[in-house]
Amino acid sequence: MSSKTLASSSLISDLTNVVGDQYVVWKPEDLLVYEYDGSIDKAPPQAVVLPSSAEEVSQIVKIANRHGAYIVARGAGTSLSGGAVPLRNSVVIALTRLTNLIEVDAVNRVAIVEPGMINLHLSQKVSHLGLFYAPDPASQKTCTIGGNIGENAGGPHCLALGVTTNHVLGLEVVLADGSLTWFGGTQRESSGYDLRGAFVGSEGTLGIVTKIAVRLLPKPETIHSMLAAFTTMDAASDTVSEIIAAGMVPSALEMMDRNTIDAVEPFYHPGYPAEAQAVLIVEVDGLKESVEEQTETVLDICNRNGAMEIREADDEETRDKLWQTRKGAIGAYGTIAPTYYLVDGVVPRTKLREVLQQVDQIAVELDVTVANVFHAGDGNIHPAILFNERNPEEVKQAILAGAKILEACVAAGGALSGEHGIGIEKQAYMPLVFNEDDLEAMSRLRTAFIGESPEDAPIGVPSLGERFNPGKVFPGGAVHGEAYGITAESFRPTGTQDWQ
Amino acid sequence: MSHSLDGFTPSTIEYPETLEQLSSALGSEHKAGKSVIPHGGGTRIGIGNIPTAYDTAIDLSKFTGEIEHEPGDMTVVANAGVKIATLNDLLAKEGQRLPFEIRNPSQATVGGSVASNASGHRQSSTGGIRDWVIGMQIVLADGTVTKSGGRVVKNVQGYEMHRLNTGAFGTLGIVSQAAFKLLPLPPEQQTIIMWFGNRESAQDVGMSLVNGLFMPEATSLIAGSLANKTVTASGESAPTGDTWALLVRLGGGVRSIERQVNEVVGAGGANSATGYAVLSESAASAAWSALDDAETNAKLSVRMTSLPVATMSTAESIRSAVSSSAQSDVSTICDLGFGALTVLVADTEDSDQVDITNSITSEIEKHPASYVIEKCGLSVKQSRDVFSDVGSSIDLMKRIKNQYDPTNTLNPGRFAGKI
Ligand SMILES: Cc1cc2nc3c(=O)[nH]c(=O)nc-3n(C[C@H](O)[C@H](O)[C@H](O)COP(=O)(O)OP(=O)(O)OC[C@H]3O[C@@H](n4cnc5c(N)ncnc54)[C@H](O)[C@@H]3O)c2cc1C
Repeated sequence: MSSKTLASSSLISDLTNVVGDQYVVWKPEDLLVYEYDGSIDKAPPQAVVLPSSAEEVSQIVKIANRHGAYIVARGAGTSLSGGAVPLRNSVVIALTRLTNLIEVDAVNRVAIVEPGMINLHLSQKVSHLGLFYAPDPASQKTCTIGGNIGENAGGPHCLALGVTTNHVLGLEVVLADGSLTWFGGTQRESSGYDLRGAFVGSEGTLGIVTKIAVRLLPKPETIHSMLAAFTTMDAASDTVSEIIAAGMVPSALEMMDRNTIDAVEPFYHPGYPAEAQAVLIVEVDGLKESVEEQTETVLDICNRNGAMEIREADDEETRDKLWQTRKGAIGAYGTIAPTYYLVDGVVPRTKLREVLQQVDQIAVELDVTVANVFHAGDGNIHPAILFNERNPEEVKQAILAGAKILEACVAAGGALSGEHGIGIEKQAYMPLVFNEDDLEAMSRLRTAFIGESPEDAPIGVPSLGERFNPGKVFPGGAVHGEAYGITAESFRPTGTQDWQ
Repeated sequence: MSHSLDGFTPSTIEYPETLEQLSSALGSEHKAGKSVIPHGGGTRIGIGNIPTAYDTAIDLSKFTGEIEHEPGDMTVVANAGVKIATLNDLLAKEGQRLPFEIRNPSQATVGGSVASNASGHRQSSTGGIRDWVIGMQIVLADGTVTKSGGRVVKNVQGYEMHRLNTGAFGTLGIVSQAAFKLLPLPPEQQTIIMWFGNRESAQDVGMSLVNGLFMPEATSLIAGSLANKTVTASGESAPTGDTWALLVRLGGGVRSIERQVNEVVGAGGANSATGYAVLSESAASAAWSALDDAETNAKLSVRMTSLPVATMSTAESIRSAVSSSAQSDVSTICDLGFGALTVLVADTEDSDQVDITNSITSEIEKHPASYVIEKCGLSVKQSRDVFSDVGSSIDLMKRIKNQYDPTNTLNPGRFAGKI
């Protein structure tokens, strides 16, 4: 390989002194895999470091400060908003070696984990105690709990149980000056400002998490999963509304459309009815008696809305099978298109039907194919725009369609993101929701965290407030789709939506 | 309502009714270099250190506006001045409620509850306000109106200023409006009371419930004279000796409640409860009111948050530490699912308060925990910080305060670390 090394040799040797040779990546060809995350954006880091302790993270931050380098924390790199893409030639700190379960207190239902622990592994490791960790992103077999903190991740079961922030008690964080501190602890509330609340979902821009204290929940006595197929999306949407109106909060309410069914059929052969336009998964859990009561209500509502087929599962094996298509849907899009752009928007539940129709119209107008699989109970839609990344025109249309879908979500009173974050992808759309004062107020929090440049920093140290994960969240930091020739002018939001 | 506080009486009291009035009132006080303390319903205004200055009260009780409730979305948006009871009454018409419980709901306001992170015994199952707030409008010290979050149940868009401002006691801005996620009202509720002669048995039953197959709505373990009073209030004859009472509220459908009652009573029997009763609606409400009354009437109260098991042993050690040093009536309430302990001292002379408070907090400090002295006389406030030490993040907290309120206009000196 002849391409040029980005990092200075003194930076590399300083980093090597901390973690050892084999845990510093700097050759351009080795860095390629760190240019990407789960989104369509990319950028090259100057080096990647893989520390094995919080103390090493702290030292690395101090070294990066001395060398005037930006820092990006990286978990599994499954972010769908460009959260883990290292802009401005950042040094990437990959937390994938920090995977320990440090402590479990089963009686008080608390665990302390390292940030590189894979989400699903935590639930597996505490399963013998009758406990589990509630947030379950569909990517839970690969994504890390540190990354979940970064994005305030959700998942199919967050409808009843809440998202990541609801399950985090405390965080050990390396701050911009390299110091280590705890926000919160193992208790539910702490003195002073709720820094843990402010940190979760801050997309790696305020510091690096090195330990996490989380709440664990007891496993339910009974789980009953139901899958119903409908001839129209409207019927499925109405079913969702009626279930909520019946005064229930099921543990999950997930929906798939026809295009998604087409994608999963060849993979998993679920054999859904040929005329089905929508498949809905409803899961209820709790005491046997409560599950029975809720099941009756759900089946009744499904039937009233003309469900053509209903499948049910109450043992683990059947349940896994029933969920297989939902959990594997996004991966299966590969069967119908080379690439997908998974949009994440939220609409008020009552507007679900209306916005899904708009999504269809947008797809027709812009001549793109959209497949839908989403958290219906939360109104959290995930239209996947399918395209071929080798065709620049298709890329442009995909990004434009995404922008229009988000505009529709916001216009319906919704949000730009339910769980994937703003990252690179949505920063240009932030003015659709927030005015300058709002954004300015948010940026002050970052200034408070990052503080002044360290006194010992040489000239050229990254500017105030941009130390960690530069160019993310706030408008103007980067252009979504730049790698495909998109420019800042390609999409301009049309106005601020005020919800006051 | 008096707006005096800790010996200060404000020279100006503003009653904004609109956002514009609120913003311009705060903005002009800020410009004039005045110190401002926002007031809600006044139920928790006393919590905090002695202000370093206090010129103006901004009373938000008239800032009520329209309540926007979307039953199908299970969300509600309300202005700061709306009373919690008003909100819950409205929500109940659609079979919904605020997931968190707030004491003194007919007096407490949305803004004051959010700012002071108020709680009630349902925290055991549904947690605190921070878990249910989805968006907020905040008026900064200079009068700038800002917002964060959204109005949909799930949103991650930018920094969660709404979580930062929950429990910030109005030191970063005035919470003018909040959006909450809601829950359906349970079809049925049932309260059970059980009482025990020692902590260990009570603790075993209580923990088996909050770690069991269903989470009771509330699981409150009461000790001291309040335990005997609660048993009596529920219509049962209370034992005379040292008593630990477990007050459990269940929620759910008819069949589910039936099963839950059996499980709770069974757990009590297996651990030799001295007695138990499945309460009628009126007896249940009398029992819960006994707790509320004790909290309202206490002269001194401290809230500790820690691991559930630690709260119970601390409850016991506090009672013995205090009774050995002073002749005071100390009762404790542990909300087990949350890990909160409320220490209530019913009758104490002002002169004893400093010592009693110090012995309470030194017991708490033996555990990984935080606390706030919610009620006390001026002598205690003069002697110490009413919040527990925030630890190594104090500098960061000061920088945050400095970013949002560099002139120290809002609630100066009243927060943790005397921020
Ligand atoms: C197929 C698929 C399905 C998905 N389904 C869901 C879903 O159902 N729900 C959902 O919410 N998301 C989902 N996601 C998105 C993604 O998995 C989540 O955002 C996840 O939380 C990212 O974790 P990660 O370990 O991959 O983090 P990364 O992508 O590596 O990083 C994410 C962000 O967190 C920051 N970060 C990482 N580690 C740390 C740390 N230790 N300290 C500070 N900041 C840190 C990064 O800088 C970055 O900003 C899905 C993604 C894919 C590819």
